[in-house]
Amino acid sequence: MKSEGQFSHIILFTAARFARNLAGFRFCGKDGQPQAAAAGVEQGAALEALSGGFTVTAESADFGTKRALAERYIFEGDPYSSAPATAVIAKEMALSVNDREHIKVFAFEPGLAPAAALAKAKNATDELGRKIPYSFSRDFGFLTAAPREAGTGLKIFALANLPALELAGRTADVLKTLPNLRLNHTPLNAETFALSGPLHIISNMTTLCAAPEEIAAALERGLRFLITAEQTTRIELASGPERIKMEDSAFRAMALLQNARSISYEETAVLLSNAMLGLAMGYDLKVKQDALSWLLTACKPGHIALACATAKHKPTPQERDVLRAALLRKTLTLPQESI
Amino acid sequence: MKCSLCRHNDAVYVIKTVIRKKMTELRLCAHCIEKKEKELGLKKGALMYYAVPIALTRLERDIFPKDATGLSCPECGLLYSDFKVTGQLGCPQCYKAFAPHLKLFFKLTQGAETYCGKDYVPPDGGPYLKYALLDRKTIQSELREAVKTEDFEKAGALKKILEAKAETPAPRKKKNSHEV
Repeated sequence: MKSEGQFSHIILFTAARFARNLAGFRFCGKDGQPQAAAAGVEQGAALEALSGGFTVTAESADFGTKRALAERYIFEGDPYSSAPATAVIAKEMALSVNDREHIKVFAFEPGLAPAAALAKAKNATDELGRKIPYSFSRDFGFLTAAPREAGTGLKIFALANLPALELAGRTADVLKTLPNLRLNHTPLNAETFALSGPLHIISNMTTLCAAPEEIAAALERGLRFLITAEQTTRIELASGPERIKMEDSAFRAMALLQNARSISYEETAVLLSNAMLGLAMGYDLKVKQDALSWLLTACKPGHIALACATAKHKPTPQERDVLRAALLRKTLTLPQESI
Repeated sequence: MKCSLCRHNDAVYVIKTVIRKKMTELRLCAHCIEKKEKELGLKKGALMYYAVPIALTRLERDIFPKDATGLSCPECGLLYSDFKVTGQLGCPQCYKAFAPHLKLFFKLTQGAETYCGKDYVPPDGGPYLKYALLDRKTIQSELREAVKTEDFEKAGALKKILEAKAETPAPRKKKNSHEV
């Protein structure tokens, strides 16, 4: 994801996703396996309806690809399941079939852009809805296997990078206010990541009783609140005695990233976040924001495993840490114009 | 309900832990949860991720009443007790079968019982449009069946779908590409 969006040093990306099921078919099972009635659905046929708008680049049949797709927020089912889930990816758009729901349409935008992401996803979903019938009820709206997403079927989310708030120890206080705006927050990769940290996924809580545009507007209000809090804290830190602490954390992060020989993803994410803070403050780190944003995704365990796995050997977690460090060294020591 | 530690303030969060296969609940007020974090050497707000707000645990009891455990969907046979465990419904009919409980669930979690957005108008093509999503072999067997049962309206629709499919080229696919 390019860093050309609005406030892209704080909001790394915004994404919108619509979940839809086909009328007349059962939902996918809890393990993603299509039920008897839906088993005959040829995935290609659903994709056919979208021909022209999307390009097929991956079929998530194996564990590695599914895991990498999950790390890109596209696949939500169980990567160990043998269910025939399919993902179609095009530039800043994605479509998944038979992954918990029959169809999910994603749109990604760099920086703070809930309205733009929503418009893109909505257009594609509506276009598809004119070709194939969706499961719909007057009482519950668009029906989904998970009732918490029924209604609009919309999940709109953003990845927020809040290193200054983390340095000042104010992250929890600021995030505590989000539920008032009907928004959820989870730390990036909540399963393995530290409970709190600088990177958080902010998403909508309600799907039933508000229009998609209202949900996107609520997310934008929440994100603007976070941006203001982060920017105020950055100015406070930069103009006070903590300035040296912030400068030190940015340069130390770059030094570690450029020289590590084995590094976990948890540590990488925190260091990348600190380096991004340094760049936003104007320190000469000799690196581009694009490279740091790209590394935040490319260093995830599934991506490292997918890039380095061979037919005979899949890298162990320890080997992945070594490979990650090698990727970081290679990327961050290259002349930045070539990235 | 009062806080399990200070026994003075109202409890806002509940932390559920399983010790030797027995569920224990610790109900804490906002002040004590911060105190507990300090005691355990955790960062501020760290325990919040583990804690479930009390309102949600009340909600769980309300929307999953014991008398509904025998309830099932007539279409897919999903038991209400199974839905309680997985949180996944089996088919669109489940919404009708479990409607009263789902309405309560929506009221408590989303602040409204029913959908208040725009109506969806399905595309033209009537009840046979869904067959467009099946593969050619399945449509052909359905067509044979329709002819056998003299359902000529269905047979005509299926024939049109087959003709349209023959004209549309198959989608481009690269299997197991590493370029995700």
